[in-house]
Amino acid sequence: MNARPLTPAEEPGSDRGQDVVFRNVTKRFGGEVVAVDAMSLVIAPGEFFTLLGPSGSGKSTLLNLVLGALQPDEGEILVGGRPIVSVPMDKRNIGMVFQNYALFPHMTVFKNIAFPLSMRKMSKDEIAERVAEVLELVQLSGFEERYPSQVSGGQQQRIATARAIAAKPPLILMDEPLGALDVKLRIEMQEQLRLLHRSLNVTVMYVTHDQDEAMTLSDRIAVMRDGRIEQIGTPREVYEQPANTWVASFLGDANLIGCRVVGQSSDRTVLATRGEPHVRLLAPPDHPDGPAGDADAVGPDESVFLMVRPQRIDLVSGSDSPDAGGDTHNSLPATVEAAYFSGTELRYLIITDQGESLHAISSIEEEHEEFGTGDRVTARWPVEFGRLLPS
Amino acid sequence: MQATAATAPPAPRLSAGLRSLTSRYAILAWTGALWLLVWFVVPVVWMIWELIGNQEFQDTLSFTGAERTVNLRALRNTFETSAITTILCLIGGYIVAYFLVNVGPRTRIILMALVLIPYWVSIIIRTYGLIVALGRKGIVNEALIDLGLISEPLRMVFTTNAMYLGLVQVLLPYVVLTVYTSLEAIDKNLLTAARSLGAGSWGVFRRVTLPLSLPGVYAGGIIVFIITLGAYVTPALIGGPGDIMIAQLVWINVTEFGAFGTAIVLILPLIVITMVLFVVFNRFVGVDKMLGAGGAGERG
Repeated sequence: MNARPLTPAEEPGSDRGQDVVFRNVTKRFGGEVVAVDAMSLVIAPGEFFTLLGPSGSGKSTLLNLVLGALQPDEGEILVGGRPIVSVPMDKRNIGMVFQNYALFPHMTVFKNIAFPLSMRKMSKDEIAERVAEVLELVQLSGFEERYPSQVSGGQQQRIATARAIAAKPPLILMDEPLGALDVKLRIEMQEQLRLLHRSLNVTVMYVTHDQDEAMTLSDRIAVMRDGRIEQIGTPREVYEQPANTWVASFLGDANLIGCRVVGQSSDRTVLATRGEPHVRLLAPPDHPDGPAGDADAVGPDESVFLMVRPQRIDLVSGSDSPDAGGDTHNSLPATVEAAYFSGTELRYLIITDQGESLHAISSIEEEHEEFGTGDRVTARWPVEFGRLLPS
Repeated sequence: MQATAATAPPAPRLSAGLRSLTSRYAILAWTGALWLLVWFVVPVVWMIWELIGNQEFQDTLSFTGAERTVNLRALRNTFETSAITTILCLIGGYIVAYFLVNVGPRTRIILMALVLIPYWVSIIIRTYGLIVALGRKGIVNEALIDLGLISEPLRMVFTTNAMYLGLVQVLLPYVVLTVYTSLEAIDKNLLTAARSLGAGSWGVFRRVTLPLSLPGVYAGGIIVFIITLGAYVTPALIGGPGDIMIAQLVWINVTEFGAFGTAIVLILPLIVITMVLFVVFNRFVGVDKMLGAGGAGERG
């Protein structure tokens, strides 16, 4: 791979990202299965927007509705304020990068990238100039006369990207474009995509089932499940303030501690563990301006989950009195069940005295006490990193 | 033929032949090769060898014999008929194959059966069927008369057109199957990609579908051309009086005159052209494509 960093040379006329608006879009397959369910969504001009979800969540269907490969049963989609549902696919001017790249095997790299340009009746000189430009942008100058089968997977991916951006569409769709690459290459390509997006200033709709990829790349993420959006927000928001237990578990490891609401004040919610012995835990009040208000309705005695990310949990040796954290920290006595060393971090599986399994992760750079199986510990985390979720 | 091609290992390309000669599947290829050698190559070479000094052979070869005009005409006729039949089959077969790929699975099964069932019926039965259908009192003439389009039965059987109808009817499935395999192998994403990149239906067909289906077109075309070169039954049974093909001439020379030398000379151009076509095809497309082992033709 080329080690030279991609210089995001501003493209002329780069101020071209357009917004995408979904109004009540529904797509059914076979009249029965609802793939996309009354979806309403606004994507800002120039935004890198990711649809994240497990397979069958409707994310690819949504992309194909924008592309025009599928027609919605109901609703309207607007790109740059223009309704596109009735516009034929070849007139939509939307770039698409397919999961398997869909490069034309009988055409050279040059011909592949020139395809959208020659379809737009550009002159030979203009086409040659533009192809050279985008090849430069994806660092593949000199590959013009090769056939797709003669280049590596990563290079095919970049050719597919070059072809999608060649005609300067205001919107680019990407359907798991890095899914076929190995991990190392994928991370490298993520950086390149990010830089490319910044330099082109186009709107990108990106589909992936890989939450790390979604977080690395996106301005905002829509977490999808069963044709609906569970939550929309910045990567940080959806990770730290998931709307529900499903989103919390889908986005990385989530410790869910079963609790009961005991009391509420303006700045704290007081909880007790559902399991015995009951331990008093504190949670922040619900974020009034958070993206999801599902937990707003928690009332006294209600069952909830307190979600804490494993990275936020600190283990200290010994099991002091549970309330030792005072008002700033929560503490739960536990026993270490297993410890794993993964190179960059130490992962612990601990069992609390209530019988709940929790994960704790500590970076090996920080100075931490290390524990082994059977050690008595106390799991501690700052109150503000807890998140109340409806059970 | 298609069914076996799907399960058998792809026939090795001659260009990459050496490596595959040592593979454990090579024994299959060697068996076939041995069979051909014993029953085809040896007899043909032996026959040519035997007859090479024969005066009749010399005469025919130099086209000085009495039948010079007849022989030349049959030769020209054979190539012309093969070329026209091939073009007709390619056009018709491509259209059928294109429909087959683009209709729903249920319609496809029905259409496929309509293509394949006649294909499995003996060529002689099919040709006699055509004679019955096209005859003076055949269903076609009766229908045309009933519709009031004609008052007298048309002379349809025993004409050049009837011969073409017969040949196309017999050979169409070869093109349908080879082109269908090629079309079916095209990644549908490529068509979506082409559409999204600004190509209309015609543009997608011309720039993507057609070029990617060419291996099937070449394969079908060559099969039809080669089979027509040696066609005997159809021209003989329903062709016009002028539609003398090489195969008929060979038959007459052997059975009526015992003129083996002449027969050999007449056969030679067919063998040569068949081999040339085969080599050219293998060079540019690959014989494996002829058996339908993939049509999306990656190059390089």
